Amino acid sequence: MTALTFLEQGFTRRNRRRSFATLFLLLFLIYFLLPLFWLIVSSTKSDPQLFSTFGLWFAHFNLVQNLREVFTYDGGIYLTWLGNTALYAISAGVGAALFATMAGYAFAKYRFRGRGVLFAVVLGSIMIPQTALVIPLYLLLSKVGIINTPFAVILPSLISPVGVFLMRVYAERAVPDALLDAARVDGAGEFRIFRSVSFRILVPGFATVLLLSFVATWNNYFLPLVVLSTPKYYPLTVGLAQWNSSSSAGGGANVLFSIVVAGSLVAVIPVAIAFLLLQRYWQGGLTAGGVK
Amino acid sequence: MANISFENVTKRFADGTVAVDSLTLEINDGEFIVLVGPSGSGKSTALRMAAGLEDITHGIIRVGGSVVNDLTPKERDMAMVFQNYALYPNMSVYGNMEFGLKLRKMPKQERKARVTAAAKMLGIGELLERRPAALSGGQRQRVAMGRAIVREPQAFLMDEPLSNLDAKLRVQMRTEIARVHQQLQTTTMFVTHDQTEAMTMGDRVAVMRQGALEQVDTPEELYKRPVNLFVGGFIGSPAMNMVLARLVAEGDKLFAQFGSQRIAVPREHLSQRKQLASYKDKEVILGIRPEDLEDAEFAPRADPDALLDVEVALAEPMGAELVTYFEIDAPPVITKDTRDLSTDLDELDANKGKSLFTARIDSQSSARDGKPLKVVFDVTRLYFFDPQTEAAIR
Repeated sequence: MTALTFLEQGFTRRNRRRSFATLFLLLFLIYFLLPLFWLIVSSTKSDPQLFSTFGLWFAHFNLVQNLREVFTYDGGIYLTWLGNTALYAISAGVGAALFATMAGYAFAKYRFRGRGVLFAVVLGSIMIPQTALVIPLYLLLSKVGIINTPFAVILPSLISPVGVFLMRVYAERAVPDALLDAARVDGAGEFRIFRSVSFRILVPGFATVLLLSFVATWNNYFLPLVVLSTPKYYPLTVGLAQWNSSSSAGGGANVLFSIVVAGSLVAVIPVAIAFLLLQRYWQGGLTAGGVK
Repeated sequence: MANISFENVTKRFADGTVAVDSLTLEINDGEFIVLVGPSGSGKSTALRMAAGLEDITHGIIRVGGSVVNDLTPKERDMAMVFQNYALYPNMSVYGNMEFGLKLRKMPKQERKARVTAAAKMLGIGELLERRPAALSGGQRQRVAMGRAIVREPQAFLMDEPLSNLDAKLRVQMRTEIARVHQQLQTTTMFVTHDQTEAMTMGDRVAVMRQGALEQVDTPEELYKRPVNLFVGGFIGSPAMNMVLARLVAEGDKLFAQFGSQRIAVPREHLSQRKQLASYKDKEVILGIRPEDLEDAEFAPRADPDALLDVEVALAEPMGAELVTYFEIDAPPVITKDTRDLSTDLDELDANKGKSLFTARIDSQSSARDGKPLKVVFDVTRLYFFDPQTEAAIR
């Protein structure tokens, strides 16, 4: 064999490997996008068509009618749920990001007694599934008397152990000790340093945790299902599920499938917007130039 | 502005290492003092204790006469310049310089006046709106200086501020800092591991080693009268040549014998150093600086007893001078100090029984690699140290 054919073989082998990777990614893309596509297609169909036509292609375009029903059915409670979801997700997102940033920063930059143990506890709590915590959480919240109020959803969502872990790692890398020393000598107290110097540097991490908690709370179904019982406090997840089960249970008397599907589509949109908005904060290198 | 005094100040870290060991040092009002020493000598820790960034394990630090041990950095009113600049990346140059003043609730007009004045002094007036990321190393260093200047603090604390700059900029900033000090007359503590920086900048230089203060004096005194082997070897570049020698009297003359060679020791050394007489027929460590050696051709009237025949190992033309290296067949001085100073331990061990000398000789010298050379000692500038205590013989 000549050197040239060796070379050619090398190229084709590499090409083959590359196209294999592309194919693999393509499969993933389809896996993730197919349900979304189904959601978009189905939200344009009326109830009978939802079951009589091919699921992955459009039939008679009924989206406007569906949307109108989503926002008017049951006295327009969907809007209340949307508002609730936004309230829970935004307050939990901002709150969790803030607490995680402060805690992670403290773990990264201060030496205090019990630091190692406390951090181990935080790490350990990542491993405990929410389902295991729901009953004790329920008992606690009812003891305090905030069961079936928005606080019952928001307060537990403010805690983000993963966020604390992320922020610790991020702060360790991003905030140089010399910068804190410089601010101390300049006369800043610790909180002022956090506010005026460190936090600005930690914004990309803050945005990441904010987004993670926002999405987690937006999509959270189990916690609000357990702690809320009045429909006017429901978030979208619980509300839509209730509509869905009532249409299944009603023996066809109360068929809401098309508005459940359209409502789900509407519920996805704000999350996508949040992603796009926060994307610009994902830029590293903010500390560049501060210290060598 | 104020004087700073360290009284038996000790710093022991949580892991038990003693970074600063009973440091006593008086820094006068308006003085520019340089703390110099190899890494791990405790110079930075001493500075950080003065700033309030490290707790003081034992001892007292006074600023302007009052004890500051338990004061926060803010209450001490000092300004610090860091090796890596430590500028606030999220603020403009103006914001960086203004930050400390803002925290002290200074009116906006006055803040502006001070920042503008300092920026003008440092030649960074054009850069005030820029972020640190958009500045060069030298510019960042100026901003860090400016941030300290606008505060008009009790003292400037500088922690190796020039180490991150390239050689040319370093020299330039050296004069710049000296100029600023001359203008402001603010008490300044300057930490460096670079003895050249120490010698050129300090009113006085404090040489530290392993947490202890070895000697504090004017640069000239340190150079001329080091208290021990360590200071002798640390101050001066290239470093002082040292060799184990025996003092022998012959008739009314005194010689220092090392290996197969010997040089005369003038009488004046005996009168200047009362203890030296007691070292007759004993070993001493003989020191001679590279600049006090010369090619015999360029010192025609030299005492023949101050001449040495050597073979040049390496000759490096530096333009203004020729730096030559040669071996002396006498055991090198291996002490903890020379080990501390030596960058290459293997070199020491490999040369057992031979000492490598450095000489800065006239650039017109014909010394070349591998060629024999007659070297003249300036015997009036010899240094003597005790081989056991390593202290200078006085």
